[in-house]
Amino acid sequence: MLVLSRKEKESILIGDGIEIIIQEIGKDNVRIAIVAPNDVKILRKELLENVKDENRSAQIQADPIALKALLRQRKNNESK
Amino acid sequence: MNIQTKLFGTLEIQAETIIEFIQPIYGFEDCHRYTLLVDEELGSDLMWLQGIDQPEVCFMVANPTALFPEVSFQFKATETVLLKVKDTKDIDVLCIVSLGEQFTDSTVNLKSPLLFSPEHNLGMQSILDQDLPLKAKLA
Repeated sequence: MLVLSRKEKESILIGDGIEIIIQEIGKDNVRIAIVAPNDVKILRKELLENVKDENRSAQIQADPIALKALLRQRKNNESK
Repeated sequence: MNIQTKLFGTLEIQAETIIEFIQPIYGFEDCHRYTLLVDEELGSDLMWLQGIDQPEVCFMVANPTALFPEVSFQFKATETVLLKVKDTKDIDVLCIVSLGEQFTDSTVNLKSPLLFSPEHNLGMQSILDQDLPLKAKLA
């Protein structure tokens, strides 16, 4: 891992098309601006972890019989 | 071709119904190809997204336009580039459903919808910048 010190308004270049600019240094956080090509994904890491957890918990685990019972509940709810 | 499914045993599907995920669903990095299965029991707004590379991977997916008409998704230029479409209008959207113990406890992930290019049979999971819930009540 490379660790660099930067001041406000200074930036870092990564590869040919990515620039990371330190816009503002606050007491508890840092505001960063990112310039990157259209096909580069930029994500907050903790959000990615939340999405992974959500996907994992959404994967169908129920056996088909339990699932059928669950879906029948839906039908009953709709016909009410 | 025949595929193994989580819920319906072996099924025959047409090769042109295979969707290649250009970025795998987060947390399921080993499964790149999926197919959508229509199920009469689910009606028209819900479907199954069955993994082809990993038969045990299966999600219930919902049509957000029908179930959450108030939500309007804002896609990024990145997404049109990755899905090889000219316009965001050419993107189809489905959201992953997380089934609850009771059906009424089930939730829909609006924050990170699945985006599709029907023209190219490509798919991807997006994480939107919009303030949308990971768990929106389905019922």
